Amino acid sequence: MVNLRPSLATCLILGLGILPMIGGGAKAADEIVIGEIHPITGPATFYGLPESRGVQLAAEHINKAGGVKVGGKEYQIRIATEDDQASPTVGVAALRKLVSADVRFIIGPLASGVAPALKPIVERNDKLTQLIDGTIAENMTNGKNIFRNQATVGGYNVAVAELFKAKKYPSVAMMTDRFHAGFMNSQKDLAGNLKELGVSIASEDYYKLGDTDFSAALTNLRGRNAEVLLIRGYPAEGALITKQARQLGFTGQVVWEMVSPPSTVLKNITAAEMEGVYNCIPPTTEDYVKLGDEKAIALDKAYRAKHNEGPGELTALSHDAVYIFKAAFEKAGSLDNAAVNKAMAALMVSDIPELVTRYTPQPDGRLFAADGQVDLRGEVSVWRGEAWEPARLTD
Amino acid sequence: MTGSNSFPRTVIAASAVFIASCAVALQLNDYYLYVVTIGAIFAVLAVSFDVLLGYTGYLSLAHGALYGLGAYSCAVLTANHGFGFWTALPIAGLITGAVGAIVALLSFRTRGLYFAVLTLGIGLIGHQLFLVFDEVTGGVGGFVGIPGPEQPDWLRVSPTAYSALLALGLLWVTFVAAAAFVRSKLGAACLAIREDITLARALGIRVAGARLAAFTFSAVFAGLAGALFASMSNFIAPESFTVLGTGFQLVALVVVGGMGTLWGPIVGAILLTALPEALRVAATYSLLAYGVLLLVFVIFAPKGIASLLKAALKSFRKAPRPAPDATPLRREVTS
Repeated sequence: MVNLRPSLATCLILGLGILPMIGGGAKAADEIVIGEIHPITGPATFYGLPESRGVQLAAEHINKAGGVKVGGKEYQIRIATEDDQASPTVGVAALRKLVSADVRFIIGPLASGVAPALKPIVERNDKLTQLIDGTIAENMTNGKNIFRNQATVGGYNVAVAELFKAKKYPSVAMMTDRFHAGFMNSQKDLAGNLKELGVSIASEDYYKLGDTDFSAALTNLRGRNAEVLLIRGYPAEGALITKQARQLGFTGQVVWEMVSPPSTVLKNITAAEMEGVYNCIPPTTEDYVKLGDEKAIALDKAYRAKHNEGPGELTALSHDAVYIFKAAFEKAGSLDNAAVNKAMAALMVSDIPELVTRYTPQPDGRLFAADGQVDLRGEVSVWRGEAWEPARLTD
Repeated sequence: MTGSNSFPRTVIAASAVFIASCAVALQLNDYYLYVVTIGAIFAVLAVSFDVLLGYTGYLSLAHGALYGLGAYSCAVLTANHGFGFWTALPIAGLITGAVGAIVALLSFRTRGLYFAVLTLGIGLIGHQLFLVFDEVTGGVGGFVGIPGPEQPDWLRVSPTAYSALLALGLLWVTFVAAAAFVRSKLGAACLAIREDITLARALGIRVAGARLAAFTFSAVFAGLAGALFASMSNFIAPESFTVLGTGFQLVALVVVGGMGTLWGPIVGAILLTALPEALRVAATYSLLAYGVLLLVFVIFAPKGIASLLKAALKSFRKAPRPAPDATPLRREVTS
């Protein structure tokens, strides 16, 4: 007698597994759906959640102010949020979910590992327009249907070079997160730039997200007598490396190159131990607030009122991304992706007065270069008291 | 284990399930097609892994790296050397199988815990090699620009649907090949090794050949799964092939689904790969969920969901006992 039971069970289970998956999404009339893909959960949530909230906040403000006027018609913006968990596979699934729900405008992602996984899908689909507000990895845009309003890692490195030039540091030991695609891919270029400035590269060490003990690498580094310890990666590890370097007797200057919310930093190091550490990234929401920027202060106030805490360092970029889309829709006078892409490429910085971030206009005043990348350069900030503040390099 | 005469029926049943799954898949939208594709690829990995773990009794933690080797082999062959997908796919499987055989020859010098630890080391080395050889693999930035599988003109479905059909097709091939393997003399030898390797040797079973065959079999299909994953994703990065990620996930799929059955790991793959994606289980809790599931199943249902389903089916099929005062049923003899 033949036993068919296992096969029948497989049939049933496969059927049960697949049937609930049938479905789709729908959108109401007179609304534009913008999808946002950020790590709402997982290891990068401290970046992703404030970005997602920044997108939501901008959409709410636009809607309250009358929405988006496209071809004489008013539209409300609806945000469709997807969590990529900073994982390429989950990110691809998130994008496909949005595409299946007929979402044609995408903001995100944050993670350098997710962006290259999404790129071939977006490039192939002429009914998609993507505006990256997170990753700093190079070569993620195409100027056709993929744009970015975040800096590239090259923009970060500009600030590092400026700091070394101003302070005339003679040597540096570099510690880089080996899983950060942006930092790893720019390591050679940065080392080359510093050498051109006459800086001796004492050592190049690597670590990974989640590491907690850096004593072996730091002991080795101490023996090399580097004047500067340059840490490139994420703030939790940056704080631990800084703390352990001090404990092991490193007395030189510590320089960070990472977006690092003070709340995350202070989980692993005291404010006193952070005093005087430099950071080389483009100005954050908090920096603009400290500079007295009215739009940044308004964003900060609205964010605090809604979430009972301050915005994240990338919130302004995500907030700006919605306004950039709004300006592109209105300039295009259409919601057709080809028209929006064309309008996006032609946007002037002056077309979007709501921008919090201070982008450097292209020579002809446009926001994006031909490859779809904004000009956003890193600046040097310094830790004072409980947070970062803009540094004056002439001190 | 069932007799060899059940094999044709197993193939027919698997084919019916495959056709039904394809028919259902073609009705799905782009997103759910992707979920089905990923679920099917992990089911391929789980079924082939079960041939080693469930049928031979060896826990390998090198399979995340073998899966990656298949993916990178296909990526290099198609993107850098101009091979078509259909040529690169079997070559990737063969390369992975050959490396798997070498890994097996090294690893089978040890047993039990030492085997697991040795393969853990190999898995870690493999993952590091994907990072270090960045001129070939793209390093941490990943391998971009992998061509998708060529689609025949006569098959008028979307590329996403085509990927799903390929993944389901590969699952069918894996299931049938695994069913043939476990029913073969080699499969019987593997079972004997799992139960008692000393007794198996005493009975004259060629232990070395059988377990080498099981490891190589699972490596070949891990490579094929990796190749398909690379081709349909157009991009791969080392983080998809970690020991703690894919390596550990495979163990969970097979243990939760049911070791020693070929359909149990498919259930495990659906539950632990496709459904969490569909339900969007938070990443923060995913490893915790895997850990808890493993604990629960190892303690309360060591043979996995498969055993629970079998028990449920058995109790469902039991005829209700007649009440003492009821008229006894007359047994009709028909033969």
